[in-house]
Amino acid sequence: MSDGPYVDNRLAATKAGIPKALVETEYCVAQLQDALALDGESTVAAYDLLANWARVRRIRLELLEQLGGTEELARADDMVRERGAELARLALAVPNPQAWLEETRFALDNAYAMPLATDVRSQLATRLLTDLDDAELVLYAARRSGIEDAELDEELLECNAWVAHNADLFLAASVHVQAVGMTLRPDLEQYDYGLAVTAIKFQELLEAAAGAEEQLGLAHVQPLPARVVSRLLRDCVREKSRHAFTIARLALRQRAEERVLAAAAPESTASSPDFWEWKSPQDDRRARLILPTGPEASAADPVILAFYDATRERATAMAGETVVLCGIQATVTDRGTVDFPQREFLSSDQPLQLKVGTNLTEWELLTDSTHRLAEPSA
Amino acid sequence: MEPSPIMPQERLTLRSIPDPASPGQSVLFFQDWERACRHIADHMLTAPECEAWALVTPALLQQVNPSDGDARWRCSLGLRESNGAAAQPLYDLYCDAVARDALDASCLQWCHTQGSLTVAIGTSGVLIVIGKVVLTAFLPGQGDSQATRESQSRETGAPLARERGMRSGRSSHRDDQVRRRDAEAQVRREKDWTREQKLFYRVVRPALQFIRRSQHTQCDMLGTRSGTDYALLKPCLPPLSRLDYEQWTMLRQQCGRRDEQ
Repeated sequence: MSDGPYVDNRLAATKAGIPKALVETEYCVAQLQDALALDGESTVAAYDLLANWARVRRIRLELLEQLGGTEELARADDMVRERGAELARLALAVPNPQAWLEETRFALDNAYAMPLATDVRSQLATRLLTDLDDAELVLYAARRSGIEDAELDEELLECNAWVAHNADLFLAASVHVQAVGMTLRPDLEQYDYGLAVTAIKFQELLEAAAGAEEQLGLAHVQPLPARVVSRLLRDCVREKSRHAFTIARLALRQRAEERVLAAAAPESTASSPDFWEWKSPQDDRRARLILPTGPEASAADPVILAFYDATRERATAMAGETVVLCGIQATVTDRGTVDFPQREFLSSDQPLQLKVGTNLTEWELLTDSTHRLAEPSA
Repeated sequence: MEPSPIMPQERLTLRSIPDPASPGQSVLFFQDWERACRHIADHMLTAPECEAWALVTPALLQQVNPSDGDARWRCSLGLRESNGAAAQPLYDLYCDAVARDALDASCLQWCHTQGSLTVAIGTSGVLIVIGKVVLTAFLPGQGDSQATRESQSRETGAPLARERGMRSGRSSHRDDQVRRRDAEAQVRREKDWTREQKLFYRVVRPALQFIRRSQHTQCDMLGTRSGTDYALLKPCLPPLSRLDYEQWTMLRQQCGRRDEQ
């Protein structure tokens, strides 16, 4: 793994080997090739030439040699040596840092206010960062050719300060920043201080990314094995279901009390019964607990737990099996149901768990309505 | 016997293109007419990509002027009428261009299949994504998604993304005279360019650069990939720094393309 002031090995993407220094280097060398072909004829051509020349100068020599990019750098060196001042005067007509600030504030604020795809945000943040980098590199190149621009210098300082204070808005470009960092000469400050100044923003963004990943609690977390994740998820669902049990029992008690009141009320249309469902461990059977509401129901009516097989018929084959619901034990009848005395059922403080069979295997409470059976026939 | 009346075409006739990953097989060019029309509008009729499509398939200029934002907008609105039947000429141009690049991709093995998705690119720079049918086909590197959205918002005359922000010019330096000189420089440079040269420098190289850059721009801050992974194509492609115009021309000839001046 690379090292140096522009590489942060704490970052998740760097640790995973996702940013590729050679890919970024190849991109930069190709950009310089294209710029050389345009020969700096126009303001934009001169701008691109100087920016890409300076960018390639920042890159580690061994990467350039590996890709055969030293030839392009040498050609660009010659061009800048011969025509640097002319190219700089043309190029300095291009950068508009105030417009960049306006565009960046608007675009990045909107990027997080709208449901944009991740890659769209990443491309946007990368482009804006590259635009700023281009301007800084051109100013550097101009200065090397003896052309100063104090106004541009000051405006770019303002842009860099904004980036430093709003680094989190550029996190979408973090992988790009890490890749750029991997291409930079670790001795850049000693090699060319002016170039090192242009790389400060990448160091700041790397630091911001590290801080963000640490806050997300990911910096020191190793990925969990899939079987561990599966077990944790199962436990989480079960815990949520237990919470739902408590709420359901309270609802049952409340409905029992409401039935007493409803009996004295004027006749009304029967409401649909609420029910709770469980599924067997093999997922071949269902159990449904129904508490009917309505003025006809009385406190003497049992709470009925009905079992259904995969064909949605009553599971009469379960006759004689032991069932424990809310801690109350009973036996399945030959109709595939269990009748619980209502008073005993509602006064139980045991959680709404269903256990079935000689081994009292727990069935899973279904809290998702999509798993519900169609209304069974009477 | 009276001749049967010629019935007007009632809906878009969908076609197939060669599957670059499975020689001899073909794949439907979009699932239905709605998707086809949406992609025609998003790519062939939206700036800045529409200018590039005019280089890939010059016959597009007979259907719409890519430089005329109003004309493109009207054309885009008309696509959905009559179940897309009005889109047939554009659809056919689109399909022919993509099919040709699909053949290139098959010939040069510029394609990669991962799971149920195939990503391919041809020598005209057309990037194709195929699932059970063609899911999309576009010219990458012609401007970011923000530029496409803004171009579709009918704010005609608004400068493109690359002409705004940092590159919009400093008013004290980049006056109209300078802009005019820049435009003249481009005209001078390209006046002797063939269509193939324009295609290579303005379409193909930006497309290949886009694929390389997508290694680092198609993921979130943790490196988790988002969307179609175009970077899968990178290992299939020649090093960009070594793909000059002459080498590209030879690759085109290898794919059976004649010099289309």
